Amino acid sequence: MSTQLPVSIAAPASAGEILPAPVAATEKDHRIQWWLGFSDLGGNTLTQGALGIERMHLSIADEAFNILERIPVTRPVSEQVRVLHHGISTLCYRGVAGVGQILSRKLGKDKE
Amino acid sequence: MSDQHHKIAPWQRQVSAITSGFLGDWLEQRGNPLAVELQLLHRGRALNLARPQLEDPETTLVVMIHGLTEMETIWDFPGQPGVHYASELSPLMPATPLCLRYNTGRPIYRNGEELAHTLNSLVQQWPVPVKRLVLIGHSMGGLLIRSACHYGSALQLQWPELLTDCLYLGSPHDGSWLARAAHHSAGLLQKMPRDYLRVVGDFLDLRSEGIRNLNQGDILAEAKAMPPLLTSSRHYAIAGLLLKQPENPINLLFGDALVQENSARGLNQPGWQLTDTASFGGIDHIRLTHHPRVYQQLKEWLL
Repeated sequence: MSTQLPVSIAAPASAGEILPAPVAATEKDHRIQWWLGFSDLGGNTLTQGALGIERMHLSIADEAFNILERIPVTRPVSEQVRVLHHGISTLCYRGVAGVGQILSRKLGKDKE
Repeated sequence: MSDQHHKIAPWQRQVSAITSGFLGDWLEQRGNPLAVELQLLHRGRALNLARPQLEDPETTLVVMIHGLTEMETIWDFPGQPGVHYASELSPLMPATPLCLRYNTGRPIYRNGEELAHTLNSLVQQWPVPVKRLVLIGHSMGGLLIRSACHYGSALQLQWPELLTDCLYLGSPHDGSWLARAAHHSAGLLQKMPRDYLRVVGDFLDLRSEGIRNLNQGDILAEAKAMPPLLTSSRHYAIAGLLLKQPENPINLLFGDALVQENSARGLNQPGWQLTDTASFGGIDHIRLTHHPRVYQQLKEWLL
């Protein structure tokens, strides 16, 4: 039994990875291990946070675009603007999520 | 037993304890070093269970078990590091004070199983024959005691025979209203038609199995199982109340802020016969771990 990251916001390839087990080490190594663990958590938090905020942002924006869709004056361009807005937003959020993912993966490798 | 958590700064240990509480099972699954290991400590140092070495080991052991996201320092009286209920009771009993540190995000039954085996190693390897064992648990720590008792007795381990007293301080035997509120809120939000509300529900749902177990006070692998108390030991329950007037509706609603009085006394547990109970008005959930009035009560029961 374990904490399940919600499928809808969890997607990083690293989420299911098993990090290498800590080995017997010196005091300095323990500190480094701790920081690697902290950064691993930070990387995952960044990824999950960015993906979650992306979902929240886009769905709130959809509320506004749905209203613009119903107004005759804005209807002709609302869909194009929505696509553009969602595209740019998604790019930004996925970029941040990717950084988190890379951070976790890199640290996972470093632990080896 | 590793002592790696003593090789990092206190604030780092605190961060490990908090993250372990919220995501401990996930951290453990990933092999993340932030996951706290189950350890017994004596005067702040991890005990080598294979060969416990300490000055003047007593035949009575008092083990204190903290709650969710906490660490053993929660027991210290304010401004007095290393001074806690067990350290104060020890010269009077006399006894050796010990504290448990563990990953509070793991399912309670898994910690309970591990604690059962750890206590067995402890009494078997203790430098002198153990004659009396006392367990004091705060919040989730009390549930852990009951879980360990169940597995210890089911596996016919040695230590349950030595266990004379179990003291539960603000333990949510029937569950915590806050854990249930988080559970229901997450479920409700996840069913909402708007995605931004479902996201909030998903984030609320990101909590450890340990926290989920606090919904109903689950202590075994089987959900909602209610094992009886060990008949060979005395069992005491202490409840905290936010306000001094016991009948105040705030106390009835919130108890010590996290655990209601009825849950701390396990009123919904079938066939429970507690040796004694006490409620303390004006003492909240956290202060139950280091309050002079609670100490006086423990002293009265244990000496």
